[in-house]
Amino acid sequence: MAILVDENTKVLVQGITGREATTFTQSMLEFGTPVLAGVTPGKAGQSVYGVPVYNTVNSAIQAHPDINTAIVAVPPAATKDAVMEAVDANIGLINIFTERVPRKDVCQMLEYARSHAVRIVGPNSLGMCSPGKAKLGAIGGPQEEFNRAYSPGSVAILSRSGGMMTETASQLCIHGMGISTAINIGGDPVIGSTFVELLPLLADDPQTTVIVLFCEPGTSSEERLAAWMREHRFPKPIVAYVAGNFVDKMPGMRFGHAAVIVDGNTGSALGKVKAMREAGIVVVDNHGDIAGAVKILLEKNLAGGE
Amino acid sequence: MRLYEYEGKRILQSFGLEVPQGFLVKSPQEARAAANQIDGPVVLKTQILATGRGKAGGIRFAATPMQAEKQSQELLGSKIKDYTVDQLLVEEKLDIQKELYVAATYQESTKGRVFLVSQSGGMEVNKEIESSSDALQKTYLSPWIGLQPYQARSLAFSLGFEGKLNQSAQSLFLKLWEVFETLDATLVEINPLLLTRDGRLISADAHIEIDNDALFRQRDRLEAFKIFDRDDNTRPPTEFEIQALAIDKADYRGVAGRVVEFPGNLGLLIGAGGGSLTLFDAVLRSGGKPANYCEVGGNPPVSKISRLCKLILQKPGVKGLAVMTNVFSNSRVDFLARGVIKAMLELGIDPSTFPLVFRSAGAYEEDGYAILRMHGVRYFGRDVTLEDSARAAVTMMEGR
Amino acid sequence: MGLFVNIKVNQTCFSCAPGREIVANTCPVDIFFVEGDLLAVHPEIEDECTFCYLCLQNSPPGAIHIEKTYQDWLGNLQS
Repeated sequence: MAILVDENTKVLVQGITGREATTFTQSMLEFGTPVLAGVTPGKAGQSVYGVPVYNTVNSAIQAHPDINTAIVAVPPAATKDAVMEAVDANIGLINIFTERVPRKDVCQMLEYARSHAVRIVGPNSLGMCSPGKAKLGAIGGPQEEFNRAYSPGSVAILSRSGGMMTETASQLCIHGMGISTAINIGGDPVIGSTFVELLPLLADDPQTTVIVLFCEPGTSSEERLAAWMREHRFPKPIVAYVAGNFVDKMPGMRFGHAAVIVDGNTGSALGKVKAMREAGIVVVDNHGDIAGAVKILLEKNLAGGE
Repeated sequence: MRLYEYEGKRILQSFGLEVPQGFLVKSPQEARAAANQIDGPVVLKTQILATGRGKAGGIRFAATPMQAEKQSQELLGSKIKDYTVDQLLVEEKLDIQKELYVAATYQESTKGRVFLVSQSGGMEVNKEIESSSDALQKTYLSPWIGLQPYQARSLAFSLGFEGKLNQSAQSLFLKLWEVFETLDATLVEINPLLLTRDGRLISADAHIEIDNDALFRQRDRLEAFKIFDRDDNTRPPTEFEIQALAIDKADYRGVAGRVVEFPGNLGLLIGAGGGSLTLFDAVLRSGGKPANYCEVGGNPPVSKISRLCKLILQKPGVKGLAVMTNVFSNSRVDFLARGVIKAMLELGIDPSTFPLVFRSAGAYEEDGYAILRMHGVRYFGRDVTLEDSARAAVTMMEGR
Repeated sequence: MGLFVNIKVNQTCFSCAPGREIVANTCPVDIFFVEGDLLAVHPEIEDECTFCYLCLQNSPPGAIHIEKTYQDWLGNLQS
């Protein structure tokens, strides 16, 4: 079944005439994702690989009322505005490709989306994919490349890094395992969809059997996940890898006390590993061990084991 | 972008908050003159962006101008936490009744802003964090609506303040909030906020951090305060790092940078972001001695890759090179190969004999591998894990 | 002549200025430039060629030849 993106996904690309957007629009079309329209103010009438361009989100939706997903690739200064435009047009899922969006803008647009029941992924997200069904953004590159790493299956990946998500999928693929949905949630501290917010969807997804998390140092994302897991019985096994252990040993970045007051003593790779293990997540020390760990869990699941 | 204490105070003052009388000095003579003007005991505070300067001896007291001159002579030019001290803030020493804590910052878990006030400021705030007692108040603020007068009022009353002091506190909280909002700050922290014996609220220290991603719309405002762009470092950058930064900044396309120098013999050209973190860990786990960290990603041109590669190869002590990346979706393997081979040939290094491990896969890998074969370079593809390629690189360095 | 890519221009195919200009403007990495009556190649940028082949698409057949110096090593022809 997959989550967030599937065979019903119909896409609008905001900022479609930009450098990154033209490239990933092409690769989305190669995949077979229905990219129905694009928006770049002032460029209505143009087309990008056959996708018609409109001046506004509303005019694009009027012409293509089936659009239910948007991907935003406009400059950082214009991102909040583009997202608000999409939220106001009732587009249910918005992936923010843009990185380096001001923090205040991020918080404002996330709140706006929340109040309109719109889901946001990102910012700083290369996108997501459900192999065989839909691809949003730049995940996996051109189709020939995509196919070498991603095939349909029952493993979900939630990753803070875009490149390592594909590396993870590639390792799984080499060992004969495929993906239900892979989502690059982004590496920033404040994001639209955190691990905690996406896991319940994966719990309810019949196609997903095992979940893999790619984690990095910084933020309190993994620690909050661990705390959430200790309070909720999560029904499916999770394998995680935390990159950047060496960062723990580098001179501290602490500036003032507020960060520790509001987010606790979080952010170290070691702390994340420990917290997640205590919460029952299988944390591997080598990225290369992910495939082996997932394989064992898949076999256990098939055998009806615990 | 972190601001120096004196910069933070300059900003607070312009928004109407009271700060101690003080002068920024760069020489012992200036320190003496400042102490003279203040006409009373003074505090000398080193102005560096490292935290923990107090414990490292970066804050001193002087009762007379002559002592101030002597203290500053010792402090200026000394090293506090890896930074060479070149400026001090000389301030009046205040008669303290109480030390409070006030801050505005972002909170990840609520995806919004929070305003913090505590009765126990200064060094005591650490105990607050540990015990999480009620003395520390957290007021959650929506991203659209800032601190409201009723919230400032509530905080002032919760501190037990009355009358004129209560009014001053409310006003201070609202002004601090205005600083935070106007400057796209991610942190405005006053610790300690001093209540003097004569009933004034004075910001004795200021930690202000401006959102780096908002600098594009804050630059003009900051420049009016004579504050200019700078990178956040935990120590001053090395010459190697400065050169690497110049390479990355010279071309906006892609990233071949985020270089950090290490004292080892194995040069690393690694990517992309998450991949670099993974690979660096893997090199250390195998017992390797990296000469640098870096990130290559976002499809940089051949020239940028080649320049960074040359810089690494020419670093004194580098005796081998590991070029390793995660599967590339949007960057190109052939560009990586071109950049590395070009760098080596231009430096007169024979790629077929130089200790080199190459692991990359993805877009244009056929072309990339063909280039490497042409120059006699062994390479690994996607079926070799990142760990195994790192281990191979470390093994290659044994005995060098 | 680059280390990896060799781009040769058959000048006789470009008898008019607009033809040369189009190619020079189309290349996303600015390999080409117009010098008098010639469509020239920046030798130090040749190795930035991305194989987009927009130059070929925008010029007469045979006007531009793009050669990979490593052609013989493609497809494992040499080990």
